[in-house]
Amino acid sequence: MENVDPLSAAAARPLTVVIAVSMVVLAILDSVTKAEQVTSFPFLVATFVILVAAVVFLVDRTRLSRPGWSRASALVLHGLLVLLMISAALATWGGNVAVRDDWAPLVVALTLFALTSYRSPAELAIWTGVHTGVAAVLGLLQSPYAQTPLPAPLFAISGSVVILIIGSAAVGYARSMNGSVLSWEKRAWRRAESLAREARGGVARSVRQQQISRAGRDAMPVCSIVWSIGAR
Amino acid sequence: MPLGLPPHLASSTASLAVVRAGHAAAAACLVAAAAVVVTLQVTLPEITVWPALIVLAPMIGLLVLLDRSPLAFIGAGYLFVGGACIAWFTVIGTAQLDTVPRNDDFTVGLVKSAVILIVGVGPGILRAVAWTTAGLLAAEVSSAVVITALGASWTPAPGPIILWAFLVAGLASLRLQRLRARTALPLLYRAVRDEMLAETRRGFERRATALVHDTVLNDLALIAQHDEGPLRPGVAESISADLATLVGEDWLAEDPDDMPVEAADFARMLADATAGELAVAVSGDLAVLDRIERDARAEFLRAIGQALVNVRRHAGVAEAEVVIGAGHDDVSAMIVDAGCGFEPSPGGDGRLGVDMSILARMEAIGGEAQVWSREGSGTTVALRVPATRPAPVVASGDGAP
Repeated sequence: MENVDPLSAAAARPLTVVIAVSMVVLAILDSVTKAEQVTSFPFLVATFVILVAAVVFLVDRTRLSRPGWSRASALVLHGLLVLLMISAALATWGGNVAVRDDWAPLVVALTLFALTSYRSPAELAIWTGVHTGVAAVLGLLQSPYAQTPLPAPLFAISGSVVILIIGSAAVGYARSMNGSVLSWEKRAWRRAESLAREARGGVARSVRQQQISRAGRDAMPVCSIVWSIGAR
Repeated sequence: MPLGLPPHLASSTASLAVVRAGHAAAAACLVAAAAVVVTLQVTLPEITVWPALIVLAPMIGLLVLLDRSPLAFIGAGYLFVGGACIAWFTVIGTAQLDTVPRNDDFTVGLVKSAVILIVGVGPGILRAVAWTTAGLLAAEVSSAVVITALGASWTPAPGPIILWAFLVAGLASLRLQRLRARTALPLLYRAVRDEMLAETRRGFERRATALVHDTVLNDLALIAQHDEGPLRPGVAESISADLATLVGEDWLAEDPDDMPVEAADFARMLADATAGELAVAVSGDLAVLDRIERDARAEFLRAIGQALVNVRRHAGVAEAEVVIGAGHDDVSAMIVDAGCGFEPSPGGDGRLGVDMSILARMEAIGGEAQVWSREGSGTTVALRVPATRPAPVVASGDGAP
């Protein structure tokens, strides 16, 4: 499949796997370096369980041997991502120094980008909006515990902006790339159809020759003789 | 799963998609920066940060222009205005929020990201790398100049550099994919074309098989049933016509587009099928045949013709009736005779002529055929084929416009 799908879903699969692995590595490194901000170890464990589930789901659903994603599968993945953000926020609840450098929204944003080859731009736009909204609410709710005294709405913006930016990039990429691929596909099919139409004459003559050979060998001599006798 | 692109298009299309993604992300950065400014102004009315919005407006305008008309001078203008915007944001933030100017400020970082995310002007991977690098330089130079001018020390911020590195790495991976894709598309092309040619061949073979049945097998059956002595004139003419058809090329030819069609085709079919031995009463509007696609119509007429041939050869009568009709989405024909009839067997009539030349033929064009017959009570064959053109709307006739 990779041979006939150089820049789309199949070709994007390795990048999807790299992004998926990067998400786990990023989460581990960030949690280790900011271990002092963790206030609930059970929620941290739950967060990583959800993260691994989302990553495995993403990698599994993008296998080349699987059919395309259904909307239900997409719903499951995005549900896991919402749970991931909530669980990550609860794991550092009250101890989060700055929401702008949290890893959970970045993981969600990277997942949105990893989906560009598999989902439509419209769906990506909707989920970008949903995840941005969830991250904004979580940022707002955590604003009382922030070290820097700033207006609360700013935490909503800083906590969700990474999803908005990378999600917008994913939508822009998917719209341009998928549109170009589909447009080329249409042109390629038209071209193949036109080639096949041009070859119809040759194919027809070949079939006719084959039929005449068969009929000439078996039946036509009999018919010709009978007709010539009967016509006399 | 969408199929991929040919190698000669892959590079430019992918880099263009990255450019579009960059522009969308840049727009999101500018919107977020504007949201920060508005939030600050609303929640802290004692400060004056709204002038920062003034420089965002031309930046957004240039970004929209750049996305629609990827011209180098618009790109250069965007970088210039972006640099000014970074300086302006830094000055306003320092003055109004009473902070020390920093290179890693969140809001200024958003504007810097928007400048770096120019990514490119039109397609081309190397060009995109060059424009992204120019964006990084414009952002950092502007920041360095204004921070130094404000009396603070400038140090490189990691955020913009990481963003730049991420973009360049992404563009480099596209270049690698382009190299891998070089041999892919010829295979795709060949597979699609071969499949279409095979389908064309199958269509001709199906048509040829039906034709052989209509001619050779029927003629052989006719000869087997014929009495001793010379052939009857009608039979001899029929065999002669069949031989001519078999070695001729008429059956291969596509009907010319300007041929008058339904009535002429129908008349030709009728003449061939009756061979002067059968009187056929035709009722209904032949124009409805025009609602069937050309190839399907030819097959439909051949099926009618075969039903008439069966009447002529087996029914023992010299008259038959053909009724042509049409529904909203189909066209039908009924061939009726009052001949000797036969007992159809379950699952088909059991007769090769009906099975091959009528039932199979109708199925091949998406239609259906039904045969009703009883010994001594005649035979009725009903044919139905989907129409490819809708029925014309009939005027109400009340003279209203």
